Amino acid sequence: MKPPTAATQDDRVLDVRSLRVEHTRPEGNATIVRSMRLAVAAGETIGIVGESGSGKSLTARALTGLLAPGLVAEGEALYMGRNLLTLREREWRSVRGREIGMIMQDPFTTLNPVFRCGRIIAESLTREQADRVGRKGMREETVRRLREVGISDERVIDRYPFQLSGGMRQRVGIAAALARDPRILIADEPSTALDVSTQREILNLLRAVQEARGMSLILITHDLRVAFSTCDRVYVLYAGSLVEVASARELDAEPLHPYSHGLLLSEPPVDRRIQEMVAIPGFVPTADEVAGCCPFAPRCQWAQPQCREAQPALRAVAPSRVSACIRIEEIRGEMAALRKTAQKPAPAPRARSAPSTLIDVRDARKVFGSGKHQMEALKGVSLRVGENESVGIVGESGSGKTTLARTLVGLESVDAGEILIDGIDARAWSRLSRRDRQRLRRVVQMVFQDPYSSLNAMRSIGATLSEAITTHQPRAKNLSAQVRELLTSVGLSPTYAERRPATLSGGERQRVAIARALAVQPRILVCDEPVSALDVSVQAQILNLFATLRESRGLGYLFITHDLSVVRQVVDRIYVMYRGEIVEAGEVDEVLARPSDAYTIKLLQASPGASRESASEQKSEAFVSSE
Amino acid sequence: MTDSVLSAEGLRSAPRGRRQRGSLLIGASLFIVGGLAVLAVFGPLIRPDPPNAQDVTNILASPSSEHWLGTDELGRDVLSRLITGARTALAGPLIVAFGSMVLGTTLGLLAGYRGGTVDAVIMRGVDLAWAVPQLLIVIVIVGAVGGGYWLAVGLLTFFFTPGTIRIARGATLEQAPRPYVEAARVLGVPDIKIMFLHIWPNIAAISLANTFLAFATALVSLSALSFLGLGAPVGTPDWGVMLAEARRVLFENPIGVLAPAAAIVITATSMNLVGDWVYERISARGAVR
Repeated sequence: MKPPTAATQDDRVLDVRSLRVEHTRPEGNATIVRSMRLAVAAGETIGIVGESGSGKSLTARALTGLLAPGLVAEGEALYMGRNLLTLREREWRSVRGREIGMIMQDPFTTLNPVFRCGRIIAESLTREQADRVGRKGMREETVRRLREVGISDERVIDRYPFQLSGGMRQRVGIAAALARDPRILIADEPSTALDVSTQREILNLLRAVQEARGMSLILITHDLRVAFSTCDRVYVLYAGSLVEVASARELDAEPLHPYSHGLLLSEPPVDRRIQEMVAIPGFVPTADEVAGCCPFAPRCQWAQPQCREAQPALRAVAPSRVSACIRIEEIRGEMAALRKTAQKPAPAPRARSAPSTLIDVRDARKVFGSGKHQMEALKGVSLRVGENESVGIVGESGSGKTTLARTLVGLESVDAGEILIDGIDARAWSRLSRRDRQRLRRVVQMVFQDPYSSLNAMRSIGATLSEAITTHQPRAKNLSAQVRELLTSVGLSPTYAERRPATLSGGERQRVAIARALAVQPRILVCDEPVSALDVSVQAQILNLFATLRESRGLGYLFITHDLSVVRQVVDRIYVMYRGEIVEAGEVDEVLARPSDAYTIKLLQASPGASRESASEQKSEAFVSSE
Repeated sequence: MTDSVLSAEGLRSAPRGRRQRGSLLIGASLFIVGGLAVLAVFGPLIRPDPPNAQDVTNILASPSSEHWLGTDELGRDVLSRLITGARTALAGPLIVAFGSMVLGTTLGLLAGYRGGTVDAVIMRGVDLAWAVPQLLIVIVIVGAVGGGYWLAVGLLTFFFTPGTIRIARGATLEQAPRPYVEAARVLGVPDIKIMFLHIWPNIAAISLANTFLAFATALVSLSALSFLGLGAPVGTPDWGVMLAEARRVLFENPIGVLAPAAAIVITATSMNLVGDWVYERISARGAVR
């Protein structure tokens, strides 16, 4: 590493060096962030990208002095000549908000629900600011602040946060974070909890505000596509260590670390279907598990003994590129070739002879609530899923897609319409005979979104699976053999039967949840956002598992998701839902290539990666070279 | 995900000093509860004298090597009576706590999981039981029937159940919409199994902690009834009765009042602390985030 030149050093608003975050525990300290370094110039946007457990959020918290008790940060974080990490809580008060602002992920919980939005913003102003505008000018000031974040409706000031949509709430949150005119804004997954179409708006807003104010922006995200479309420069963090730094455009063009490479390949492209997604095997380790070697070595296909001898230091590997891979010169060509083949579009799925219909929904209607507060979740929805067919339902929250899924497995019943599953009238499960119900359950099973709560924490994996088997075969023989077989079929070792959910990673839990659904040998799996709670590198594994199971077991799927790129990889036909109605349906390639409905078009444009406006390159290139 | 787990753990790890002091208290409480259980079972073998052996030549004696806690107004050994009393002190509250836990949890699970009419019927019953002055009713009934200790135990069990139902129902309502419960429903697992094998283990921590609290409250309530003469009959070596009888000679022999009073307070406090500890232990097991 060359020492930074004097010129760029002046630019730096924040300069973090060898930041280390540890969790102090009686049984010994656990490392969470091993060595983080980053530099932000005035008016620059940088991205910190990493999966869960990479330490990206705790880095942000360390920089705002918001680490939970028990977590300690060491190292240097120079802001205007002061080391932030040594500040005391009293001193932080003059820095937080005023110098460094922060936006949290969840707009549903970060705003105090008993305050009106105007008060939330007014309260965030400093005493001096408030004195300057005076009590009378306050309303005007808050209106001005709201206009800055794109809210022109003055009435929002008198609304409570719960009366606003997620996107609006996040805007109010941003206005509050900007209230004290900070020089650096840290946004921790600001768009993750929002709908796809709102995500885009919020990211664009952040970028616009950043440019208008000449402020620095640190965006923390797990999604490389989001980082590429918003940031000048991207820091890739893995298991607490920085593995690559590059300008967004260059990293997108050619990653120079096997992890960034794998992460990019794991993200399915939205514009085409690919043969098989390249998944990174295994899951993200903790920083201590990979101490003293290359953190990615256990999952890297190019790992050599020398990768495991010591932790590789960051070094300049190309003009303006920094990577922590010691073999990058040797494997660079191989990586590029692999990326090229992996992204080749797959041939269109072979035309299957029209499958016999298994699920037939006609004009289903469902209303929640009563009296004045009625919500029409389904307004006459019709759909059909055939044997061994994979069908997707795409829509954002509130579109009724989850309600539809739940009616199919008997967790909800429709008010009107017809639902035929394998010839059985499944409109109201409670009115069916026990035998019919059990028969239906052997046709449709469900996989839930959150793998953390869909398994009973108090039971071992083996107990969960055996129960699923005996529910439908009370006199099952060789129960443990069947459990072993189930575990193997979803790619888990049979020894997992003895473990409890708490000791499993998210991806492993989702595999168990799939195995549980498979235990009754269903013909269709209803999957409600099955991969959206998982890490990107694990997401691809699960999607590949779905593809394998479809082939080997003749399974059909009803895939419910908000993610167009995921749906593109796994389904044949797709239904687009909007506010309880199906607005478009057809072959997935056809619909996504030539969308006809306005909502579908909006959804496609909003999905990250669909259109990548490259960020201001020049500045960032000069900056990277200085590191 | 992992990030939030870490910060949550960070919050939970309290300063070390507090934790150590806490574990000392817990250790002492466990020792007391364990010791009482031993006394309740083996009391007759341990106590120095028979509880009802009178020695009229040595009444209201101060503590001595012969009578560690002195003697009462009939010359009976206070320590022996205290040890003998451990049995009724533990047995009654145990039945109240355990009985109301079994009844209350079952009805609470049913109300919370089934909802609808079942829920309405059970909860209106609960409301009714809460709307009447409970201890007063116990006093009236016991007074009218003249029933004594076991009738009091039965009535207390009945009146403790509604509270347990509310707690169990609340916890069940929180668990019922969780995906693991829905997954079991989609699989076709029978409702009974879902309630007792899936939901119950997940609300066990609250349920058991509540049982210990109920135990402590029942101990105090039963002692109060005995003190009023509505529980254990006069003359029996029950802590409440001892308190009532020794009260008359408080100034001549304070230890005769202080000993059973201290026994009641210490036992109730230890039970509460043990309950807290059990709750923390169980809720930490299998906890994910």
